Amino acid sequence: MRDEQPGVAAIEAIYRTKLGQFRRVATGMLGDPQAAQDAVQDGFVRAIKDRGSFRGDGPLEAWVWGCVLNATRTSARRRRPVLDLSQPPPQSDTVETDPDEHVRRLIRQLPERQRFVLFLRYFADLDYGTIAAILGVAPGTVAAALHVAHASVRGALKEDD
Amino acid sequence: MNDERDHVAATLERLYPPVIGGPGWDDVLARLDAEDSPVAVHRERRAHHIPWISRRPLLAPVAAVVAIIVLAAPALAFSPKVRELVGLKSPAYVPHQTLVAKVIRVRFHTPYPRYGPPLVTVTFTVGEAGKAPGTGVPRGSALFVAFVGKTGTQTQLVKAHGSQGRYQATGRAPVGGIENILVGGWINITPKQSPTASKGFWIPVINLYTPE
Repeated sequence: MRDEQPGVAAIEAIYRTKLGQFRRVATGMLGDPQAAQDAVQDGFVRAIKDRGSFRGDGPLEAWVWGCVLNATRTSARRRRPVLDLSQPPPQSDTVETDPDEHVRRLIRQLPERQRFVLFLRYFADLDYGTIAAILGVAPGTVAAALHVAHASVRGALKEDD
Repeated sequence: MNDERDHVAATLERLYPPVIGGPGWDDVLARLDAEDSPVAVHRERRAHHIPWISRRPLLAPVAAVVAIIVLAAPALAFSPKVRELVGLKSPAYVPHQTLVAKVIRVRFHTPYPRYGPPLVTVTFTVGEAGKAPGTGVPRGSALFVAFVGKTGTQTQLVKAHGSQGRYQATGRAPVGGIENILVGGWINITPKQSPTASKGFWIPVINLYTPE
C-alpha cells in the first residue's frame, strides 16, 4: 500500500543501495555505530513523512542525505555528555598510546561542516556540487572546507609519523 | 597531492570501517507506523495543544497550594532547620559512621548553556557499606547534594528525591566545572522514626576520585 505512494519506492531504492554509505557517514559524525544506525533509520522515516516538501530542484538522493544529516545532528544534540568522576581527570601531559585514537580525536574536534564534507566526500563519494546542495552552501565553500579538513588530517598523520 | 589524498582516504577507511548488519527497511516502516499510530498522534497533539477546559479542574488545587505556600513562607523562614536547608546557615554536619553513598550517573542537561553554568542531575544510592541500597536509611530521612567546583567553592545543597536508597538531585554546576560531589542528609536517628528528630551527616561517597 505504502509502496504505491509517489516517492517512497525511490527513497527505498536509495536506502537499499546506499545504506552502507549513510551508516558510515553517520558513524563518523557520531562516533557510535549504534547511535548512527538509529539516526539513519530516523532520517529515512523523516524523509518518507516529509517527502511532500521535496521540490525536485535537485537530486532526490541529496535531499535524503539532508534528512539523514539532520537526524544525525539531532542525535548528536541529544547525546549529552556524562561525567565519569570515578576516573582521575586526564592530565595534559598524558601520552596517547593509540595513534588511531589521536587522529580520531582530532577529526572529532573539526567543525561540523568540515566533518560532513570530509565524510560525504570519502565515504559517500559525492561530488562538490551534490555536497553543496546537501549542506545548502556554495560549491566553493565545500572545496574550502575540504581543503582545511585535509590539512588537519594530514597534520595529525604527520604528528603520528 | 594525489598521494596525500590517497593517504587520507586510506586512513579514514582504517579509522571508520564499513558497518555491517543492523536493521533494514522493515525497521524504517515500523518506526513510521509507530509515529503514525493513534497513540503517538494523540500524544503529539496533547504536547502541542492543551485545551483550556482540561486545565480548569486543576485551578482550584493549584490555587490552594499557592495560598498555603504564601501563608507558610514567613513562618518557615524563621525556622533554623529551614534556614540551614536553604543555605542561609551552614549546617553542622559530621561524617556518617555506617552509611556510604555511590554516585551512579552525572548528567548535564545542556552541555553548553547560553547563560550561566549548566544544570546537572546526579543519581546516587545510599546504604550501609556492602549492603543493598536503602539499608540503614530510615523513613523520614532527607538527602542533599552539593557540588565542589574546581576552585574549591561549594554550591548550596540541593534536595534529592527518591526512595529505597536510590535518589536524584538536580542543581546548577559551579562555575569552572565540577571537581567533586558531596552527599549529605538528615538521617532519622530516633527509634520511632519521628521526622522531626533527625541529625545531619555528610555521607562518604565511595566511588569518586578524590585528588590527594
